[in-house]
Amino acid sequence: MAKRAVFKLEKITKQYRMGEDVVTNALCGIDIEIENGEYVAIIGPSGSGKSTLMHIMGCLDSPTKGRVFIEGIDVSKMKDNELAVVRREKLGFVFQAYNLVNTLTAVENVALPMRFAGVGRGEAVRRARELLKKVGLTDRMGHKPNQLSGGQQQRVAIARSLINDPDIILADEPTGNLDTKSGQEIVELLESLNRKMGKTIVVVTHHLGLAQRADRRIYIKDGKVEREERKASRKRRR
Amino acid sequence: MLDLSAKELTEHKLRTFLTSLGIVIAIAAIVSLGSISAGMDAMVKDTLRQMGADKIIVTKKITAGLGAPMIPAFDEDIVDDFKAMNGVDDAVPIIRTNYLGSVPLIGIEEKDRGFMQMADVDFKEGGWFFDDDTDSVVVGKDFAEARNLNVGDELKIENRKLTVVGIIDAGEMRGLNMMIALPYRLAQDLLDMEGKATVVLIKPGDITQADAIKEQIRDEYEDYDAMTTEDMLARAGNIVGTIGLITIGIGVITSLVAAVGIIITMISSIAERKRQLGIMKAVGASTHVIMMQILQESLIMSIVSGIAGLLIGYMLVGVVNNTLLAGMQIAAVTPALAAGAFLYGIMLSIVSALYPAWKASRTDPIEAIRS
Ligand SMILES: Nc1ncnc2c1ncn2[C@@H]1O[C@H](COP(=O)(O)OP(=O)(O)OP(=O)(O)O)[C@@H](O)[C@H]1O
Ligand SMILES: [Mg+2]
Repeated sequence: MAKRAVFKLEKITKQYRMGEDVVTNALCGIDIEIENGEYVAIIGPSGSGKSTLMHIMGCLDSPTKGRVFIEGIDVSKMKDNELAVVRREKLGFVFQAYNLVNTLTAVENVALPMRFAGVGRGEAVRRARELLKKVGLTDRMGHKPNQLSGGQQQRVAIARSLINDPDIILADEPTGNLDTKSGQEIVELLESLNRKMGKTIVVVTHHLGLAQRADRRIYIKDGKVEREERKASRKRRR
Repeated sequence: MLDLSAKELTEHKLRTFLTSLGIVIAIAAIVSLGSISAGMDAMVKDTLRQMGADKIIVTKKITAGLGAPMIPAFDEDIVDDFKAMNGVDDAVPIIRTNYLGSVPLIGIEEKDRGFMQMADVDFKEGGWFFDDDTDSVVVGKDFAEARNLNVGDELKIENRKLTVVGIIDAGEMRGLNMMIALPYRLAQDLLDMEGKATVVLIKPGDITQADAIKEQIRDEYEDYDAMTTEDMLARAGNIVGTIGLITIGIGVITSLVAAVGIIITMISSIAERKRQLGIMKAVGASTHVIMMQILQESLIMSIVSGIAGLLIGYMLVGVVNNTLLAGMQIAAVTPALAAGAFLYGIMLSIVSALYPAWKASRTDPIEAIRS
């Protein structure tokens, strides 16, 4: 697979303004480049800005300053609805709190982003079933989130992130709410998405195993990139 | 994505019910009041038209006070004074009152029937009574139908058993189809009005003189009120117009209540669903998709409430027909009224949902995700 930058972040800053003079600098000048097919872990202490960074990479939020390129396209100045299209088509999300729609079944949750793209119910549900099979939930398709374990919910969320076949999966502490065993299953699932399906994966994690499997680890502290580590075997060629 | 909208509504039945209630009430009110006032309008106008366009109607002024009769009677001999007036061709006394509050009851002599367009009327069954009959009555076919009466059947008025001898089918002259007619003397007898009448109908020699005769009666007979058929139609029009305005007023108020109800319940439901809406946006729903989702919910609710409102309105009209209007199907829900009210309900609910839908579409996905 030819290497190309799927993410390019240039001097990203994010300030939260609360009231008149209270300003939180969540991100202070972040430069990151992530290539197609990379498996990147973002690590850092609580409050260091990891989630903020993920939201900006995920087009859920815009940076105060700086530019974000996704597959070469500058998304930092895009309008809400254009960002929604990028989220839907180029990105898949997995969150710590699963973030499934409670009133919908597993299949319906997985199908949702595809239906937002204008695909009919039948087609979307068919594809959702396939994906749920792949993540090992063949017998839980009609269950609602509150009828599923945390690990199962997270697998539903992973299936959902794949429905529109995006090249990039962003995961913010996907194992944070899970016990060791189901956490391990999620780690393996994410890894297989990278190794078998060639998805670019960016994952924020405290999970040591998960971080160690990544090609690259980016350490964030106080809104800055503190250091990076690469796995020798999958070292980036320049 | 109608299935998702429908699912959201059925997941929260109480909320859906409360949101829809206003529209149900508004549509029921509009349909029932609209058809009742239209029915009343038609009934009053039909009844008046039946007197002919060229008549002057004289009644005694209503004296205020307890115990004063709604339709005051007066000495029938006054007819002779009117007959003697300049320009008057003929004047006849009749008894006209209401049976059970809303059915016109008319006592009239055979020779005078032409004054009420009754002379050449067709009968569905039977025929006219004679002036000296003491237990005969003729009814209009609508009344007969409502009461399930046939010729030979008994009809009790003022505790006297009368026999139906004829059922009038006056076709388009609906006023005649829903009245009760009695021999003049019998009506006086039944109502304890010996030698009295409640109305004098005057026919001018020339229609252009009608107004002059009316004015003269008003001047000379202070206790009496004189009106041309035109005047009465105008007055009836006013009353019906007022009823119409009240109907519109109630329609507007119920609509406002419905709209405010929808806006409030939808906004609170959207606040409750913040997380769900945020998740939807996070996984790629555009503002447009969210808006459509909410508007569709509103559309589904309005269609269901519209049907419910029409059914309730229809039932209310039935109740009014069977009580106030003595069983005659005078107030009718016309297809145009039903369709109009239904579409209005849909429009009202969609317009009310616009702001909540817009608000929903602005839900911040990050807030949902952080929680
Ligand atoms: N909406 C907001 N308003 C104000 N400040 C915020 C907001 N969101 C985040 N912050 C602040 O920005 C900083 C970075 O937050 P962020 O959530 O990115 O941290 P994090 O690295 O993900 O932490 P954790 O590991 O606990 O999830 C924190 O100091 C946080 O308080
Ligand atoms: Mg975080």
